[in-house]
Amino acid sequence: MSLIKISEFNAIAEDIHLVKDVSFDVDEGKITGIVGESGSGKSVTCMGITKLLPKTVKINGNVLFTKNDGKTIDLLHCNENELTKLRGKEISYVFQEPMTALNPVYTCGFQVCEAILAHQKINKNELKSKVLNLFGEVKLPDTERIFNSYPHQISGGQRQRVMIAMALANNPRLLIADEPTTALDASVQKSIIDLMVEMVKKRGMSMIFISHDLNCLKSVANHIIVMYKGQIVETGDKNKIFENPSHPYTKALMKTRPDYKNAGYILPTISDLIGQNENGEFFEKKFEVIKRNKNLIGNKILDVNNITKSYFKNSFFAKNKNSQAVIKGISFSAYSNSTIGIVGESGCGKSTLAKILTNLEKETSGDFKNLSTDKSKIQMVFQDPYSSLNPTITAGEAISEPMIVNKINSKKNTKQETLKLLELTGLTADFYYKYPHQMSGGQRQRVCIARALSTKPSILILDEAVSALDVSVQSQILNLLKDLQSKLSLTYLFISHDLNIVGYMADEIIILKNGKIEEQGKLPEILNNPQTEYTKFLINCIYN
Amino acid sequence: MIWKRFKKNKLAVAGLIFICISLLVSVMGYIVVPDHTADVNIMYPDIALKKPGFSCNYLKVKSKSSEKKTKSFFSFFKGWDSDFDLISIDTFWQKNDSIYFKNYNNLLIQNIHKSEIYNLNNISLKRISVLGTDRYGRDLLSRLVIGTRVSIAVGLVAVFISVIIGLLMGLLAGYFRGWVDGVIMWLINIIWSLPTLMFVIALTFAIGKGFWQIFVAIGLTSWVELARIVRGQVFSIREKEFIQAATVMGFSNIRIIVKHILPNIWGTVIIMSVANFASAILLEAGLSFLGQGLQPPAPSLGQMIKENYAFIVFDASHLAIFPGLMIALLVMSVNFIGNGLRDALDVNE
Amino acid sequence: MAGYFFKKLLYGLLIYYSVATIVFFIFSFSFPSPDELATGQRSDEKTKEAIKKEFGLDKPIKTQYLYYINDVSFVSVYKDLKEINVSKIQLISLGGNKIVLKIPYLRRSFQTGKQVNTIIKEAFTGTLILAVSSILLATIAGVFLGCLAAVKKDTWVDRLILFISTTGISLPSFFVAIILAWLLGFVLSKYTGLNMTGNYNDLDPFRGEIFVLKNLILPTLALGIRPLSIFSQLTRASVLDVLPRDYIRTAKAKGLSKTKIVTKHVLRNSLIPVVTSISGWFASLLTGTFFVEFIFNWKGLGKITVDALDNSDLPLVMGAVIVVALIFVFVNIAVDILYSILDPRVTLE
Repeated sequence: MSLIKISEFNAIAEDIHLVKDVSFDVDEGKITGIVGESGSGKSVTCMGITKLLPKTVKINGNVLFTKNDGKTIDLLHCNENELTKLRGKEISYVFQEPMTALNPVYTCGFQVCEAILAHQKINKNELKSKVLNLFGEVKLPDTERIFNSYPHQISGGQRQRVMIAMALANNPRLLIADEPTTALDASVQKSIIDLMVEMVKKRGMSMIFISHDLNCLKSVANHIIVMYKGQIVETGDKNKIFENPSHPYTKALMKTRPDYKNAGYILPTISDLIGQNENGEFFEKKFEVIKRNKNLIGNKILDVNNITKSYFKNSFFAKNKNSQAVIKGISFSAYSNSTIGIVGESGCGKSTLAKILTNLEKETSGDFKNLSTDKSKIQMVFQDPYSSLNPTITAGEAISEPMIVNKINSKKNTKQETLKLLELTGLTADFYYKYPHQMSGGQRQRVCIARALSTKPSILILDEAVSALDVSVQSQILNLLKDLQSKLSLTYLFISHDLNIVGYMADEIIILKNGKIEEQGKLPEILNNPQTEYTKFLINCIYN
Repeated sequence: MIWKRFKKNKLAVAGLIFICISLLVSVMGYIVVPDHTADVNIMYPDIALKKPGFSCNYLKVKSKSSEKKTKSFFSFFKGWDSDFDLISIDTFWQKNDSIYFKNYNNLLIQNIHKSEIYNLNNISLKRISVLGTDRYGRDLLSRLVIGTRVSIAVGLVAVFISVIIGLLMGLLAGYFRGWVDGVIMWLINIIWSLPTLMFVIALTFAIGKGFWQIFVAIGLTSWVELARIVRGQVFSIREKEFIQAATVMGFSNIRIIVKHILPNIWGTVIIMSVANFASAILLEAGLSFLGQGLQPPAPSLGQMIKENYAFIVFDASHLAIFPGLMIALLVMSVNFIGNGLRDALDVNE
Repeated sequence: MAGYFFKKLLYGLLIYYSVATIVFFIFSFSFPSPDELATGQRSDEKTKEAIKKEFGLDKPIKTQYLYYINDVSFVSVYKDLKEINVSKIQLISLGGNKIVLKIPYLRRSFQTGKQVNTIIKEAFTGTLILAVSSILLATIAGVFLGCLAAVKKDTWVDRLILFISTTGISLPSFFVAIILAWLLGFVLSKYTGLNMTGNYNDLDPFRGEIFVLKNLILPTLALGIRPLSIFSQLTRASVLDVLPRDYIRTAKAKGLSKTKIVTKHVLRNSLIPVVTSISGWFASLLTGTFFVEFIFNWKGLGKITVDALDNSDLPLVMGAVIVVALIFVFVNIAVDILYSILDPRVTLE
């Protein structure tokens, strides 16, 4: 029997259809997964059904929900009062970013208590013990302390557990989880997903689980819905979707994912795999798998020798300086025309290492030698394509400025060279006069790469350079990086938290944990035969 | 694009129009006002405290002072004396070689010799005091225009000084941090701990109370807020990855500040300047009201209120209300323009 | 926490002494020669000498400065404790010198010969009453209007509040004071029953000194209008900033009622930045409100400062500025602590 039945759901903002004619059911006690890229309308749909969207978004359609007392009501035709009684009690939410989803000025305990008090009458002592029990149930350690902690005082994973406790507080019948693990580290992701599935099963609830990652739904959902450009393109049983997908987009989503297995091949992008005819119907394109030429690894080009980095906290009273070591002795060598993947979770020191190698920060001890023949500087591509370009200058200026400042080309040649770089990174010449706000995320990242290449570096650090991009754009940028490497014999230091992408890109791999190298070596060896527990754990988290 | 968005805000456009008109009139200053003598300071005790719209005839007599009246380039700024003096009269008649006249509202008949008349073909003139006269019989409209000119000039000079100092300080503190920031914040905190008005007064004690000194004193105090906001903005922009990228590319600090930080804070600077313009006008008015600003007889709006506010209970409330209204309208227009710009430039502080 | 507090206190003292230094040098160089002023008419050589000696004016400027800093300092060295007449605790005595912990000694007025400490202490009550009542008015009404405008964004209510508050920001406070006094205390006094001027306490022929509440109304209004307008605009901006935050959506998603969301989640978070402005304004109101006290003849810090300026009463002017600086330093420390209570993310480290 279906708990919620959505039919003909539409969401329109400023004449743009965010969601178009979406219909699906969620059965009682079942988990439905929704997958799609950003802008596919998956979040808008799930927020829209309880009218959590801003007023500027107009919604229509029917959402029939069977309440606890057996009555069925249409949520979109309820008034705000009726919905308020329903939200948090019968339908509750877990959001993507637990840091911003919790109010920073109230304790975690208070915020969960508030959720209970909104729907139940309960005395003070009972309330607290109830919340502490809930905290125990979501496997939070030291429940009394967490109860009195503010959100910023606990870790990301713990915050998400608090959110889950809050969502479960009134025993709702439907839990809607909007990318609940995207903002978390890989090792935490798995445990949070496991927890949610366990809770939902134990209580016989239904759940809608939204993700941009199809693989992530494998262990979660009974039923999967694939959304693309505001529409549902395919729905079906989990096994059917994974084993026998029918829609070209679903197939494309599976093929376009970078990982260790397709490392030697050119990644197919979504647009390589599907097209749209004039009636708006999608069709599958033929795509031949092309193998890349194997890189010939060259000479040693970078020698990093026992680098450490500590931050000193000058204390006014204490005589001894408190120091906090972020990097505790890292050594490795890099060779031309090859890629070293540096993997670790947040806080492992990988970004600090990048800053030291580009002279943004000074190492505390140890040193590194740039052995490239022309002694060109190490360049870097940053994570966020939105903040790594100056909004007030055009792409052309951004790319030519380093050449002018470092006197690499004559003034006359600079423009020509800039256009060449644009072409090299797959952009047309008219991008020369475009400002960042006129470009998409992928195009910005291409400009960033062109800018980094303008000083003709031999070593390029890619600090989470594709992490902020959608799957379809990600594969394009990865292909570009691979092409550039073989054309220009570049050395990449590819920093990422995602072992899948590193698996696709890297020749060698370094696993960082708490500022130390946990394991390092050739990629296949480490993936197939991990030595340390931590590496095994990381691999297990990703490859299940 | 910006203008298009600005245009939508009707109050801002109205403010802009008002400021433009005020600017135009006050730039022309002495050329357009009825009484163009320096500081509008010719007193006619007979016609003191007249209502708006008051009109009266004047006898044009030869000027008593013998020195030659020349109009020079500076007259444009300072005004110029007429070649004749005026006597306010009710009526006059000519008899033999004398001109007989009755002073305004006075039954006593006086006479002067024909030779004292400035121009026998055109013995008298009629003048309307649109906004009435003050307690010395001076034309209020003329004083208002010249006072407005002072206010606008103070605003402009103060903005000029405060933007230069504030921007420089804010950029240095925000970009270099460390001890540079420490020193600049120390300076900011000191000036902050002094009440603005007291600080300006103290400065005028040190540098004098002339026209330019007042301007400089106000400018020197109003850079602080701008510096603080710019510093905050630079702090946050410095954290952006494009600044890190610029450092990695090997750009110099000056290049990063000028090419990559400055263009990103112009919106804030413009809006802060507009706000500073408004507060400088208010500060000057307050200073003059306390008698610590421009010294009489130079007209300034604040001082006109001070001179006249005692008369509000004697049925001459317009004398204090007109200059007050003028200040309020000026500052309001500037603030509405600021609101419009804030929306048009999409700046959040 | 204690360490942080201590650090803040030290920084506050640094600012305090810097201000004292600036005040000393600006005023003692620029003020009309004090020995002539103080003696006034009885300018025989003997008196002059006595006064010069008392204020140390016969000594070189460096020594004068040291004496001044010693006087305004909290820990000072004196040969004879009878010299200064303020509350103090003797710490130790070294030879003939005694080291004392005391409040700043601001010397004696040139004009009246009374201790500046006493004069300021007496005047401060009036200012405190006025400051508290107007900050209360401004905070309550300002926050309410700001919230209303934000919730009703882009409706006529919002536009009206924006118009009124911009007008409020643009009006010079002395002009508002004059208009209020005239309109409510004179023209309409039959209906309002208010006086044009008046102090908070009055001498009643039968009951002695009494507190006159109604005299507080007009000055409070005149003083409160500007901060009220500013708070309402700040609150509006801040609420609009908080409304789209994720945690507001969370609050909605857990089924809280609209009033609960607004009062518990929106207001609590959006008031954090407003608090800085409120405390800043409170500090500046505490330092005396020159115009309003002047116009309503309200005995307070501002009025005695203006009077002292008119009389060139150097020690009183300097004393007033020093007290202002102290208030600012104190309020700044208080704000930091308040901030850490309001926003748990701010740690006192």
